[in-house]
Order: sequence, then structure tokens, then C-alpha cells
Amino acid sequence: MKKLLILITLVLSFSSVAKSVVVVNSENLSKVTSSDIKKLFLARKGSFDNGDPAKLATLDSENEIRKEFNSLVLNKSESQYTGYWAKMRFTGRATPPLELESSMAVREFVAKHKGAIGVMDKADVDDTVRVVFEF
Amino acid sequence: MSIKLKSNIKIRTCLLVAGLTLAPSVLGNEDINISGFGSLIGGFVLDGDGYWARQPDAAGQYADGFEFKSESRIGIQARYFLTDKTRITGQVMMRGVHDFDPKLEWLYVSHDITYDLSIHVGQMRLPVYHYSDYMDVGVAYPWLRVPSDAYSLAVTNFQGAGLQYNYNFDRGWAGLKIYAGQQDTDPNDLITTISQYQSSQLYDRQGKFRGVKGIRRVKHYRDMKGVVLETNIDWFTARVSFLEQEEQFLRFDEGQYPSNTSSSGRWYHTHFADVSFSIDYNNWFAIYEWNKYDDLYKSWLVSLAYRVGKYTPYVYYTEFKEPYSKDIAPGGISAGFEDEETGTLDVDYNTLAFGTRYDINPRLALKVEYTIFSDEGDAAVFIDENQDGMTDSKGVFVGLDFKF
Repeated sequence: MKKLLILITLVLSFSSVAKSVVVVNSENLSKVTSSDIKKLFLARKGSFDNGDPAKLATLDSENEIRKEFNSLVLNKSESQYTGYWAKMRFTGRATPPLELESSMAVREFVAKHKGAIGVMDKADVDDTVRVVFEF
Repeated sequence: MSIKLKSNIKIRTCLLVAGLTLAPSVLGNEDINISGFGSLIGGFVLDGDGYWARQPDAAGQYADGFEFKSESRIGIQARYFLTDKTRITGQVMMRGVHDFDPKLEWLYVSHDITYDLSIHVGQMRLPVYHYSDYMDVGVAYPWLRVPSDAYSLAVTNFQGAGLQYNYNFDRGWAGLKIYAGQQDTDPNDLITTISQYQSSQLYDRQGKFRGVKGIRRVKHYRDMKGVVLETNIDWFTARVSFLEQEEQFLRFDEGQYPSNTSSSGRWYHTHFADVSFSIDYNNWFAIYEWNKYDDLYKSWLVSLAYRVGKYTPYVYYTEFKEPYSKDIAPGGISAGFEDEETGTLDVDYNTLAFGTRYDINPRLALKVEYTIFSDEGDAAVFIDENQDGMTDSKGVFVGLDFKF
């Protein structure tokens, strides 16, 4: 029984640990909610509360973290996401998020640009970026 | 291959014109952004003399065997960021209906006054319909083609200016667009082709269709003023658009262009209104769209689609009604094509279609559609071999949509 409890606790605690995060530049102290993130990544909102225009970065199309982000946060399948951005891009309304090949590349991009926001692996986070959302 | 070569040169010319290669060093710069999309569509008619989905530039005609060129198209878009807030956008379309010769579709400068308020100046798509802005971008919708009986306005682009304001709220957004401009269409491809099939089909002694007369229809549009109001709340979107304009319609019989028009040349004040409601809820998608072009015609569409894994099966119905057409069917009024009840000639047709989208990968979608076209009106809509004004048809179409 004790073993089972430990096992359940382990499974529960393991599943509640988020592996992926959304980060902003460490100097960006704006409040960023999950609703803000959704709006920023669908071009419904263009800047942070401090007024800085947002530069968006996500991962390549085959990346699992990106797929999870699109599905959990944006509520879109990969095909819907591509269709949505094709519509936004080809009607001239907005340019899709930059697609980077790795979490490290996202971290470097976010660290370099003050207005950047990116999707990445939690394991690669360091103090150049600030975590605003975990999933 | 000479066509290809010619096209390449033309593309380059267009890009140059578009100011996209303002300085050669700009290419490869992160300030310039080049992307594209396309649709390869082929189909054949199973029943009837032919099928014509009335797309811009008179595309969508299918008469013999498996036809691939009629609706296939490729678009290339480039955006050059002059500053963080100002950019030039150019889009070149190569349509099969024009032998894939590149034509400049959009070319405009936009400037963000704030993120929510922007001004656009140049040549843009006339945003009258729900799908106007992206009806060429097949990956962005479930159907093989936008249900075209409800998308019949003979002007697709305009030159002018627009102001777009977006308001974001917690559960959605609202947008207001106002625009003004003008456009010349000489010839007007859509109206010329419609008139050719309505009144100028040619048949040999055996009654075999041998083409259409070289008539020409020209339309000029001035003082175009329009407004679009759109709002999205969670899974619900509503859109209203209104356009008013001065237009001149010139008819030329074969061999009479450009000096002898059979029209008065009078300018008419016309109005176009369109309303749409759409729902995107979990895996369901539904849309209803209705429009009216003064008392000239009314058209509408309704569609339902359901996403199940990589498949999105859909059904749509779309209808067009023009009660008082001035053009007549082959054979003329004496052949008895006029409406028995009203004594007038009407154009009245509808399409019922079943199809599915299959997402091969996020950038590539395969679509198949079975289309049933019913001609309920007096005038011929397309080829009419037995010359009775009835041009019903059924067809099967396959499309591949992609973006790059």
C-alpha cells in the first residue's frame, strides 16, 4: 500500500511538472498572462504592457514543444496553425513567428532582443530570459 | 520551355516593379520576407457540356477531358520592412487561366500608426467578401475552391487607400476597415466571358460548339467607397461589408472595340452589401454568407465542415439569382427561353458540392470534390450544345494546396 502511494505521488508529481515554457527577455518586466500569449502568437496583440513591440519566436514545424504549444495554448492543430498564418501573411495583416531550430536558438534570440518572446524547453532556461508561462 | 523562360523574366520584372529588389543587397537581408502559396487543381465533367466555377479572371472552366490549367495558380509574396512600422508588400499571381503569366495582384505600402491602427496605400484586394483577401490561398480554407456562385463581383482589386483599426478585448477582437479607390477593367474578363456564353456561342451546321464570338466587355469603377466591420468572439465571427461606387459598363460587339460601343457610356451609382456569420467550434466549422448587388443580383452560400484527424469532410450549397438579365441565351428570346411567369430573362443557378480536405502535412493539403451544378435560369451559363438554355453539369475535382 505504501509503495502504491509513493508510486501514485511520483506519477502525479511527475505529470504536473511542466517541460516547456514561454520566455521573455530578462529585462522585460511586463506582466504576461496566458491570454496575452495567445493574442501575441495569433497577432491579435502587438506589444507588451510596457509598450515594447513583440518579436515572436517559436520552434520548427516538426518540434514536439511547438506542437504542444500550438495545441494547448493556441488551440490549433499544425494544419490549422499553418492555414491561419497563411491567411494572416498573404493578406498582409501580420508576419508569422520566426521559426528556430532549437530551444537554445530561441533563448539566444530572446536574450538578444528586448521585445522578444519565445517558446522553448524548460531545461534550457538560464538567467538571460524570464519564464512567463509553463505548459 | 520558352514559356517558362519568358515567365521567369516577367517575374523578375514584376519584382523589380514591386520595389522588392530596391537594392540588390536587400535580398537575403532579414528585413525582406519572401513566401508563397499555390493550388494545383484539375477536374473533369462527368455529366453535361461543361462546368464553370466563376472565379476571378474567368477561371474555373472545364469542358474537355481532365483539365489542369483553369484554376491552378501560384502566388509569390514579398514584404520589405522599410522601418519597424512601415513596409511594402507585393504579391504576384501566376494563374493557369493566363498561361501562368505573372500579374501583379497586390502592391501597397502600409504604415502602423499604432499596432491597432494602420494605413495602406496602393493596389489591394477589394475586401467585399468574407474570403476576398485570401480566396487564392487554398491552405487557409477547407474547400477545393471558395463556393463561387456567391462570389461573382466582376472587380477583384482596386487602387486606393485604406485605414484599418482593430480593437482587442478579452475574448476576441473587432476590426473596422474603411477604404476608397478606383479600378479599370479592360477587358473585364469575367463579364466578357459570361456574356460570351450567354449570348455569343457559335455552333456549326451539325450543332457542334465551336467557340464564342470575340465580343468585349469593359468596366470602369470610380469613387469606390467601402467599409468592413468584423468581430470575432471565441468561436463566433460576424462580418458586414458595404461598397458604393460609380461604374461604367461598355459593351463592344466583335470587331467594334475600341471605337464603337453599343452602350450609352452612362455612369451608374451602384451598391454592394455582404453579410457573413461563421462558427469555428471544436472540430466543427460552419459559415453562412449572403450578398446583394443593388437589384441586379443576390447570391449566398452555406457550408458545414467537420475536422476528424487529418480529414475535413465538407458540404456546401451556393446560389446566384439575377432576375433581369439583358443578355440572352443562344437561340434568343424567340427560342422560348424567357421566364414563363415574368416574361423576363433571368440567370439563376446553384451548386451543391461534397468534398474533403486531407492534410498531408501542415503545408500541403489534398482536396477532392464532387460538384453538382444546376442551371435554373433562362440563359446559358456555359457551353450549351443542345442550345436550350439549360447548362446543368456534374464534375469531379482534385486539388493540391501548398505554401512555401
